[in-house]
Formats: sequence, structure tokens, C-alpha cells
Amino acid sequence: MRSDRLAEAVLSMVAPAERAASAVGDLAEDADVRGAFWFWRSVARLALALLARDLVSSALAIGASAALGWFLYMGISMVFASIGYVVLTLAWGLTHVLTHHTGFELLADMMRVRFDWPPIPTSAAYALQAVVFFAVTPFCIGRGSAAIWRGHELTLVILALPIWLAMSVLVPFVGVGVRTAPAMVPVVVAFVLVGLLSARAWPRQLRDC
Amino acid sequence: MSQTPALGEFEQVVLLAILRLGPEAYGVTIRRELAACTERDPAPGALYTTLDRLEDKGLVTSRYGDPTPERGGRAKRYFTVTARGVRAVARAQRAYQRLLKGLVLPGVAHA
Repeated sequence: MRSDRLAEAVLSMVAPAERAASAVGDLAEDADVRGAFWFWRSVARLALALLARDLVSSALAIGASAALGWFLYMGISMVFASIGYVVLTLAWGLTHVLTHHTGFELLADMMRVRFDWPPIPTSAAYALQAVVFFAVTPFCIGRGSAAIWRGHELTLVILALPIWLAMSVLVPFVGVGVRTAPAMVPVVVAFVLVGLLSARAWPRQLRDC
Repeated sequence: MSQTPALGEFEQVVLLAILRLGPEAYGVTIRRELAACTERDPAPGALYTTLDRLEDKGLVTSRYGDPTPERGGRAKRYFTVTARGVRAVARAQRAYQRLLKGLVLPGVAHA
């Protein structure tokens, strides 16, 4: 079964939207005679050919953008971590001084930077941080990148995966307790892709559904 | 004056097909013309990437026609060979002619 809209959506991730639409129109003209299998095989081969060409011709620019994106991700994550840590420490301190010890003990605890909360709030805080680091921040980066790399989304994600994996290992740890484990990089990159796709102008045929 | 770029074999046949088709040269007609003249059916991936490459080299230009209901409202992308493209294919053909001089090949007529 043929879906011209889906084919156009696939091709528009590796080519400008107008070219993708034109190519699908061309394939659709012959598909009436040659059948659905030929149509989808042609879409797949065309998508791979365009992706390969994009990887070769734009690898440097897109790769550099992916590398910069990593630093942006780490920077935003550190800002969130810093703000979150200060807010949570102050909140902890306030509840602590209202319910427990003298101000001197409170100051000593805060200087030790001990996250000595009861289990549930601690877990909730860590869970919130994880959602921000691994989902929200990369999603926002994906949306921000969408306008720059429209028609190159798939190339950007394919290049981002090995680059971000390498940088998660090679870039030195920078204070503030923020680090992304290499095993989580595929999850982070997946949310970048979700952000990219959520911001792009879908082919009008899909939008009209 | 910029140097005329060298052409690959498939790029040459694509340029010749576009020249033969004139104003009706777009993806479907170019592919059919190539199939008829070269007796091989080019893969869409090879054809469209070659067309993009030719456009990047300045050998062809493209324009979009009006969307048609038969194509689901999608426009045709028409191609035209530029003067630079004509010079490039002519240069390639002159090279073929020089190489063919003195050779007798079955089914090939010489100028």
C-alpha cells in the first residue's frame, strides 16, 4: 500500500521539502504502473542515496554544529544543575532550620554540601534532574536546531551520535556534578531528534490530515 | 573564465537526455529517455543525486512547475542545461571523437 505523504515525510528529512515533494510526485507517476513495492524500494534507495550524499558533502559543517551542540547541552545542563542545587539546598536549609538544629549546625551542613534529605525528596530531585538532562534539554536543542538544519535532520542525528559519544568520554569533567554517561547518549540524541521533528514544517499533506 | 568541469559517464548521458527533451525534462521523462536510449533503467537515487550534483556544478538549472492533481498537488522539477553544461558535454564528446578516430567498432558510425 502506497502512502505518498509518508514517503514525502521520509525524504524531507534528507532533502529540502520542495525537492522531496517533487521526487515523490515523480515516483508516484511510475508507481501506478510498477506497483507499491517498486515505489517503496525506490523511496528507500533514494533516501539512502540522498543521505549518503549529505553525509559526504555536509559532514564538516553538520559535524561541527553537532560538536557545538554538545557544549550547548553541557552548558544548559550545568545551569539547570546549579540553579536546581542552590534552590534545593536553600529549601532544604529552610525546612531544616525550622524543624531541627541551630543556625551554626545548618551552616556547617551547607558548607559540607551534603545532600542530606529524606529519601523521597532526594529521589524526586534526582528524577527531576534526570528528566531535565536527558529529555528536556536535548529536546530544546533539537527544536532550536530545526530551523538551521531543515532537510538535514537525519544527517545531523547520525553525526551527533558518534560525536556526542566521543565527547562524553573525552571532554573533561567540569565541576558542578554534571556529566552524561556514554550509555545515556543514545537517549539524549533520540530526544534531539524528537525536538528536530517536532519543530520542522511537515509536508502540507501531513499537516492537513 | 571558469574551467569547464570534467564529466562522468552517467553525468554525460543525463545532460544529453535533458538536451533531447528540451522544456519537458523532469525526473520521469529523463529516466524514461535514459531507459530508451541506454537500455538500462537508472535507479532514482542515482538519477536525482546526479541531477543535484549537476546543478551544484552549474551545468543545469531547475525550476518548479505548477502543482498538479495527478501528482497529489506536487510540482514537477524541470531541468535545463546551462551554457556551461553544453560546453562541458561538447568537450566530452570531442574527447570521445578523438579517441574513436581510427577505430572500427561494431554498430558505431563515425563522423
